[in-house]
Amino acid sequence: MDLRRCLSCIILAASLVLGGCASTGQVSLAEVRQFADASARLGGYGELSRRYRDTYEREQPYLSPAADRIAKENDARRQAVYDDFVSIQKTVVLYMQTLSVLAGDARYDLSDRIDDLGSGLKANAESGLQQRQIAAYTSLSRLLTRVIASGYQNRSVETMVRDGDADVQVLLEAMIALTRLYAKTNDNEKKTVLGIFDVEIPFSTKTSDRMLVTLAKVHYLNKSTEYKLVDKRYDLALQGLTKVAQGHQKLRENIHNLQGDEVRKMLLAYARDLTKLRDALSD
Amino acid sequence: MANDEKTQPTTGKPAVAPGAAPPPTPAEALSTAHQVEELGDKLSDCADSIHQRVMRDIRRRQGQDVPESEQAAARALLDAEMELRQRANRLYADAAACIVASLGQPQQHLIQLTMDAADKIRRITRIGDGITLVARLLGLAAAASTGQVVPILTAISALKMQVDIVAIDSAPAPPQAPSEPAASA
Repeated sequence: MDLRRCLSCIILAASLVLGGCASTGQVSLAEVRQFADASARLGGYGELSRRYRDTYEREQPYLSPAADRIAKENDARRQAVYDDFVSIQKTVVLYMQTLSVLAGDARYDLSDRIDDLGSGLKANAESGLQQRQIAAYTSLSRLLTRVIASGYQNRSVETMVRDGDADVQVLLEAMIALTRLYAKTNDNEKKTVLGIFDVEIPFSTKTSDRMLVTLAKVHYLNKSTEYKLVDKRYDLALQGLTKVAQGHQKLRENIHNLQGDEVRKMLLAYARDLTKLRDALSD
Repeated sequence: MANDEKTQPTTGKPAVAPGAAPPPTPAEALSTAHQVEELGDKLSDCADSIHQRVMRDIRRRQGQDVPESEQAAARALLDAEMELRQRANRLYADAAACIVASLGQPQQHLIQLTMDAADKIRRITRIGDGITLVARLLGLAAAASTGQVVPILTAISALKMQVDIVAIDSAPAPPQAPSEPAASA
């Protein structure tokens, strides 16, 4: 039949043309997605913000009356800005999550519909379309989908990364600076808590002090272990935030070259490092 | 005392812009915060040296009883050390507040970007619908070429359904703009 021959010709021609386009235009954003996912899931900052907010609660029993007065005011200041600390993080996480969805496959994976279409055609076996033509038709649609959607998707990811980078960097820089301040405050807390025992234990030499000294030593040991563990977390959180900032900057620098092998490998390495840091933080 | 002067900046913007001048850029805020932080570091360092000094005296006693007067002196120094640490923490808190105060605009911008992106994601879904629509049309053409009624009817109903889907996806586009504003943050 004329029409059928004509149709298969069109399909064949289109496959060739689109096949050519697809091989050059199609870009996998899987690495971008993995990087964005890992960045969104990085822990540490939120928990350390909370710990910073609750500083007074922990240090209060150890404070002298004079120090306590200042500490109480400090507490009020920390409570007042806590929400702002959290909102910075929320903004960055929201951004990364959106970038992940934008770069995601699942959202645009239209194979379901196309396969459905293919089987629909197969059911129409009587239609006289031959198996070969059905296959060509299905793969044509698949290519078409990928070409249209992935071009659009790339541009969207590009726009978002390009327009977002400066602000993302500002917020991450702020989170890094804040985490550093958390760590320094924690350091003063640690030295306040442990400092008393440094001084008082050597002063307690009477035999009647023995039990007290023993308890004090046990308490000291527990506390210094606790602070040692926490110290590590500040370090991990800082490393993570720095990695996210660097990764996003690289993404921005290579935004037109995302199909390059090296760029993909690099993004994957960032994602892997971030996942490792996250695992270390959740231990 | 140096810290008392620094209590001012927390409420407004730090010394950089007095009065109703434009708020500092994040970079300016960060550099002011950094200076405040450095001052805090100095106080922390002082506290550290006081502690070392006290500990050196105690160690010199080599486990022997420390006279009452020396104990009192050590405790007084310990109190001073503690107060210095709190004053340092005050500066750290001020620095943090200063950083945070400058971040409204970048946050707003990023949230806007994510909203734009959400819109794009919706549109991409619609491109998918469009492709299926094209596919259904081709299917109809193929069915028509057979000249048989049943496949043609099947193809027509599939096409009609797809047209409906596209219509549903496209229809709510206009009112969707103000639907999810940044609300908070």
